[in-house]
Amino acid sequence: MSQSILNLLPSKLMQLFQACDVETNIEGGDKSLFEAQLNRAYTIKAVESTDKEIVDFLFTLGCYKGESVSVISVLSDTYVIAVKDARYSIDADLSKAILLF
Amino acid sequence: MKIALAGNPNSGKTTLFNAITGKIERVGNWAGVTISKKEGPIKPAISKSDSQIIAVDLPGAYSMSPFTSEETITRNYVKSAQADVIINVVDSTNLSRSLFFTTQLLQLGIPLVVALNKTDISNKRKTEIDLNQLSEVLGCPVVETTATSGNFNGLEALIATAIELDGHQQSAPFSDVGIDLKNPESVRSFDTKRFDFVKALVSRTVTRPIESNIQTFQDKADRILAHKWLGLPIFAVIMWAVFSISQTHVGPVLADVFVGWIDSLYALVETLMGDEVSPLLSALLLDGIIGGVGAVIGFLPLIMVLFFLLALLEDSGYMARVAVIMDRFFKKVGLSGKSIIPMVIGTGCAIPGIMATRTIQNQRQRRTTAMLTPFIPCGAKLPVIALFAGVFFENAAWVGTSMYFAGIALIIFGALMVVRITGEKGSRSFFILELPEYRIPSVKRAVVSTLSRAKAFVIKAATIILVCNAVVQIMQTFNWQFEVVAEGAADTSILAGIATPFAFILIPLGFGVWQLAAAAITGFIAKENVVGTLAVVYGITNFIDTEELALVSGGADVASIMGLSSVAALSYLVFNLFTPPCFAAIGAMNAELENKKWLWGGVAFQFGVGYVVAFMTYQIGTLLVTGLLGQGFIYGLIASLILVGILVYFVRKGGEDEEQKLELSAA
Amino acid sequence: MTNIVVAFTILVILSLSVMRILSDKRKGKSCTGCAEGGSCSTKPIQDTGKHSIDKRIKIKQLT
Repeated sequence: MSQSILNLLPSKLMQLFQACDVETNIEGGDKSLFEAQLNRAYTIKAVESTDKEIVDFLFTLGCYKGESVSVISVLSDTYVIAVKDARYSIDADLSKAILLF
Repeated sequence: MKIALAGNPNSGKTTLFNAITGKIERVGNWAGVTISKKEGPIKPAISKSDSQIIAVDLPGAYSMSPFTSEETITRNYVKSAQADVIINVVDSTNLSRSLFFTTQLLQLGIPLVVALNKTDISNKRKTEIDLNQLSEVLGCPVVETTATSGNFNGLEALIATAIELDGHQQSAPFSDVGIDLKNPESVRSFDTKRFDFVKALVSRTVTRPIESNIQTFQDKADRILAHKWLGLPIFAVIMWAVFSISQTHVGPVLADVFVGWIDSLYALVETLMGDEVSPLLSALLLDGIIGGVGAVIGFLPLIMVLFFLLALLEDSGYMARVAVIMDRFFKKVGLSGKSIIPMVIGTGCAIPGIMATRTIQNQRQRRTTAMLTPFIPCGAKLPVIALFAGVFFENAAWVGTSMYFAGIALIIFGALMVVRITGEKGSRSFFILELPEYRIPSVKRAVVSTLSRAKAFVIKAATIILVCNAVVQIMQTFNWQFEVVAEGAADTSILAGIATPFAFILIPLGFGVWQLAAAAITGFIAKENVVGTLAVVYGITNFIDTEELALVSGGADVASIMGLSSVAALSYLVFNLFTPPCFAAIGAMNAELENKKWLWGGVAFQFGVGYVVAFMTYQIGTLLVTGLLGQGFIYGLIASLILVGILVYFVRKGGEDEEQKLELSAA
Repeated sequence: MTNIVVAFTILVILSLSVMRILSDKRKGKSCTGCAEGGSCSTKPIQDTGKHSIDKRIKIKQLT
C-alpha cells in the first residue's frame, strides 16, 4: 500500500507544484528534427543554438551539416536518434536545434 | 613505461584496464562511468615482461576539444605526453565516430595502437573490417580485442604490440599544418574534413550487411522500458524484484546460516574465557567487539545478493534508460537527466556518486545534484534498511523499494526548492545521452564486483565499526566519574549523558530514547554504525534470526527490547536514511560544491528533510494505526513549521531576486 | 591471569583496526575499506566551470 503511494510521489509532486517550463527560443520556418518522421534518414542542414558548447559537442558526435540522421523513436519527451552508428537520447529542445533539409 | 588507454565513452576502456591489470574498477554499460584517471601495473602474465608496465585508464572522450570535465582530464593527460604509448580503445561497432578521436590522438606524436574492441558484437552482426587497410591508412597497428572475454581476447597481442611501439615514430595520417587554429571557422571546416577522411576510410574498410539506423528489437524494448507512463512503474517493479529476492527470499536464508557461524564464534569465545574474566573485559570483547561487529557482518550475505543483482542491472544497459525516464521529471525541477548517473553510482557509495556530478555542465544543476545525491540509500545504509525490514516488517520487499523511491521523491522536491531559492527557473539545459546496446549481463563480472564489495564491507566492519563499537561499549559502561555504572542505572553512563539531549529533540519523531539517539549519532561516522551501536546498547547480537533470539531472551523479541512500534521504527529508518550522510560524504560534498553557503545550506536542508519526514511518518502513521496522535505532537509540529517556514522564506527571497533580475534584464 | 590475556587480545584487535584506519588515511582514502577502489582520494579538479569559446579555441590551438 505505502509502496504504491511512494511510487506516485514524483508525479504527484509535479502536479502540486507549478512546474517550471523550459522555454525554447529556436524559431523559424526550417524543419527541425522535432518535426521529423520516424525511421527516415534526413540530411542535416544546420545545427543552431545559442549554446555554442552543445553545437560543438554535437559536432564531435558526428552531428553536423551534411550528415545523415534518423529518428528511431520518441519516448517520454525524448527523441532517440541514430547518428554515425550510435543511438543517442536527446530532449525535445535539442531536437529543435537540429535543422534538416 | 606507461601505457594510456584513451577512447570514446563506453568503448570498454575500464573493462580492458581491469582485464590487463587485474583491478576491479567500476564498470557499467553506459557512457561516463569513469570520471577520473586510474593507474595500475599490467599483470606479468599478460605483459610477458620483467620490467613494470603501468596502464593508465582515462575517462572517455569524444574528441580533443573537451565538453565535459572528464574529457578535460583525458585531453590534459595525453597532451602532457606523460604516456609512452597510447592504446586507443575503439568500439568496432562505431568506427565512423570513434576514428575521429583516433586521428586527433595520432597527431600528438605519441606511438599509438588501436584496440578494435567489442569485436564479438561486430562479428555477430557480420560486420567485416579490413584490418590491414585500416592499419595502413592510419599509420598505426590495429589489434582486434574482446575485453569482456576471458580467453582469446587479443589482449596479450595488444600489449605486446604496445611494448614494441615504445620509442617508435608514427606519422599522422591527417595533420593540421597550415590551419589557422585561432579561427573557430577554419578549425570547424578542418574538423569537417577530418570527419570526411574518416568517412572515406570507413566506407573502404568496413562492410556491414545491417545498416545501423534501422529499427531493431532493442529499439522496440526501449519503447516499452523507457515509455512515458510505463517506464517508471517498470523501474519500480524491477527494484521491488531486486529487494524481494535479496531481502525476502534468498538473502535471509543465506544470512541465517552465516549468523549461525557468528553465534558459534561468540559462544566459543565465551567458553574459552570462562568465568574468571572480569565482566568488564568480557563484555567489551563479547558484546562490544564480537557482538557489535557480528551484528553488522550478519547482513553481509543479504547485501551481497543485493549488490549482485544491482551489478547485473548495471551491466545490462538498463540504467541509461532509467536516465531517459527520469529526465522528464528532473527537467521539470531544473535538473538534467544526467543527474541520474551520480544517483545510480550513489547506490554503492555516496562519495563517488557526489564526485560523478562533475559530468554535469551547468553549475547549479551540478551543485544541486551533489547536494541531493545522498538521499539515495547507499550501500552502508542497506544493513540499516535490512535490519528494520527484518525486525519490524517480516523482511517485506516494499520497505527497501519504497526507501529508494522516497529518496527519488525527496530529490525531486529538493531540486524544486533549490531552483526556487537560487531563482533560476528560466534557465535551460540540454540533455543528450548515448544509449548503449542492451546485453546479457555477465554473471562473472557481477560476481567479481560483489566479492570486492563484500571484502570492503568486511574491512570496514573490522576497522571503523569495530573501533566505534568498542568506544560505545566503554562509554556506556562508565559514568562521568569513570566509575562502572550500576546495574539498572544505565541512564547515568557517559553515552546516555551525551545522547539524552538529542533524544529529547527526537521525542516527536517517536524514538526519543538515548539509545536510539546514540545510534543515529554514531551513524554519521559510518551508517553501518547504526546497526552496530544498536547491537551494543541493547545487547542484541543477532538481528537476523529473530525467532531464535526470542527463545534465548525469554520471549522478548528485538522489537520489544527496542521498545518501538512499527510506525516509530519506520520513522527511525527514514530519519537515518534522509538526514545528512556520513562525514566522509559531507567532505565530498564540500569538495564538489566548492562553496560554503551551498554546503551548509545542503546539510541544513538534509537535516530539515530528515526531521520533518520522520515526524510526518510517525505522527500520520500513528494516527492511522491507533487513531491517536503520537508523543510530542505539538512540539514536533512547531519545530517542523519553523523548518518549513525557513524554507519558504528562502524560496520567496529567491523568487524576488529572480524578479529583480528579470526586471533588470528587461530594463 | 586470564584477565591479562583477554585485555591483551582486545588491545591487539583494537590496535590492528586503528593501524589499518590510519594507514588507509595516509594513503588518502576517505573511507577504510573502500568498495570503489579508493578512487575518491583524487583531488577535485579545478576546471569544472563552463568553458568559454576562447578557451576552447586555445585548446584547439594546442591540439
